[in-house]
Amino acid sequence: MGGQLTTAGSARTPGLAPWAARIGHGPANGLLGLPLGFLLIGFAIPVGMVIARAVGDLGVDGTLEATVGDETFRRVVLRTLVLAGTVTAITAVLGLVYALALGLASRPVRALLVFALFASFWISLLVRTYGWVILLQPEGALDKALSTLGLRDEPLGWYQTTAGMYPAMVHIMLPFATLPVLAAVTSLDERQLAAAQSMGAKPLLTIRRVILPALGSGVVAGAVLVFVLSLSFYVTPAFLGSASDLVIATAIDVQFSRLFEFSTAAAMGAMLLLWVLALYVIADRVFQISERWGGAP
Amino acid sequence: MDHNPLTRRKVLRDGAVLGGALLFAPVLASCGDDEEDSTSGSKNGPDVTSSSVVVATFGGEIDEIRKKIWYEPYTDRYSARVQLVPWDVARFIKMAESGRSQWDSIDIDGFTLIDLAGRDLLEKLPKWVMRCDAVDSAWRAYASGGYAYSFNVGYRTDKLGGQGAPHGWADFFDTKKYPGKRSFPKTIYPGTVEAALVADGVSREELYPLDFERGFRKLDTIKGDLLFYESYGQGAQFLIQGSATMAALPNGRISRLTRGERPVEILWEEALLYPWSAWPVPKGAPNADAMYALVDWMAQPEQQAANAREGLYGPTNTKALDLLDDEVLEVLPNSPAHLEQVIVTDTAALAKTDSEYIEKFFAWVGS
Repeated sequence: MGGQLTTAGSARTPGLAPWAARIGHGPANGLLGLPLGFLLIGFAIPVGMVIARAVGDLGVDGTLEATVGDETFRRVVLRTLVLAGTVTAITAVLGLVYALALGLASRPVRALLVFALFASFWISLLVRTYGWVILLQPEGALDKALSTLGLRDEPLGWYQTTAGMYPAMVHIMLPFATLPVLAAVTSLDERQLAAAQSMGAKPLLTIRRVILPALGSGVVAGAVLVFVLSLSFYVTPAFLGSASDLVIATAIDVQFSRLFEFSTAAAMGAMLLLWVLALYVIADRVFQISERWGGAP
Repeated sequence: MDHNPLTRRKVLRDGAVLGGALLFAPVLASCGDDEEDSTSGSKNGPDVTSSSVVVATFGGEIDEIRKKIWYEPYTDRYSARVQLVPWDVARFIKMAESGRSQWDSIDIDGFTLIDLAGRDLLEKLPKWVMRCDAVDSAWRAYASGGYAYSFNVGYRTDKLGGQGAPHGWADFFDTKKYPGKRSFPKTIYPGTVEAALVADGVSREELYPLDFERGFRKLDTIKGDLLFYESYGQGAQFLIQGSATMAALPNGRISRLTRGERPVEILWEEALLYPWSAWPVPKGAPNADAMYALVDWMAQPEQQAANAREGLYGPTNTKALDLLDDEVLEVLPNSPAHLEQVIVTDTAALAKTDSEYIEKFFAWVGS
């Protein structure tokens, strides 16, 4: 699909350099100026300043030393990787199930499921996180519910712990994992399913051989998105996490607003950006992520 | 409703107020250092040209109270709007160090002001700003008193498990005898190490200079049971909703809770008294003239008394104590009623170790 555009572009706009033709058709290139300009001012320049601050103040050696070379930060990174990985695995599965349920449901149920998904997605992140705070606090909603049902007397003690972050993160990341799969689910060819059934395939085999491969790239796209978001997530770990078990984003916050070590904070931010970019490049090479996110079927 | 604005009752009432004000005039003159010409409103009085003044405060309930008793009357008088921003002492210090502060002041402990003044980061208050007697005379160039507060234990009376009321910080740290979470500050450090040391058995005389390592070791023994709060309001909320059975909070936050119908009590034994807070004006403050007028305003006996009545914080202008009745005096941290019970913190010693305290406290929180 991308290749087609390139050749078509260069064929239609012979005067344009190949790279310009790859961006778009000649006349439309001007329009691209606006979003690209916004990207430059709002993203590239600030990010560049952060990197310049880190490398300028600490040097490349210092930047590496403050981040990869620092034992505390390494532990923080490991903790964040575990968090992101686990949340990704859970939401990928749940997202798949949710999308399948949406695809298979009757109209009224589907409407309800779609509403629930988008309502959750559109309600402010802060509000959702605070909802979890109210749920997880000692003697909060969850504790009261459990004790009323007679299941447990003592408080759960999940508030301000690393474990307590997981349910909230899954809740918040679920729409990101569900929506890419949803696109694939709605484009599933029912005739393929009927054909499989008529050839005598049991449901499990149908799922394994027909449905999952069709949804596979959607699941992967959602998973990569969730992973990248979870790596740099701030609000939920800040509200629900423990003060002594930091993730990358909260560690940067401590450096920046508690200790006023701007250079170290910039170094950590730059490293995080680097890793996320590397992840994106790998994901694109292996899974063709950019095509999937771009909406190409 | 009476449409006639000039009723007999009104005349009597206004007359009483005016008479009262005349009575207080000599009181105003007596308050303050002899060296400073500190009667407010005198010929070198406030000349406020700024249209707003920015102050960092602790937020929540106390902001609402002070809006009513301090800030709105101040705006009525001086036409400068009081803008409140969230408290952050580390940020205030950084801004003062840079010489270009965005804030005009912050609600801070006296010892921090001493530290900042010693590092030449503050503006001196003009001579006409009222000074209060609770402030050490050595620092009256920079400080007019704010209020006195203490760092207390607040506890739920319905979650004592039949053990009876707690006595002192040792019980706060005894999670076996009094099980449950402890609401504890995460970003506001005064009193934290002192509380731990007192709980660990250090006597009042030997409290200062603070043994930080010993204090944090003691805090580590209950770290798993600590429920950290980002603001005093959140800390009080933990106590109200039962998430924590005990809380370490300023006295006003707890006492205001006990005024309502709540099963919360305040513990005065071993409460840590901070005799004077202050409103430092950093070098490069954007609206210094308005801030000087505000500092002067907040030091007046009437305003000090109002803060005591509504906020339950002790006045640093001792003349204000005469304006208060016994019911209020009973819950003030610096009133005679609590003289025997409170532990007075050592302002001078704390000023010397302020940066160390901040650094070590945040390091312990993150450990």
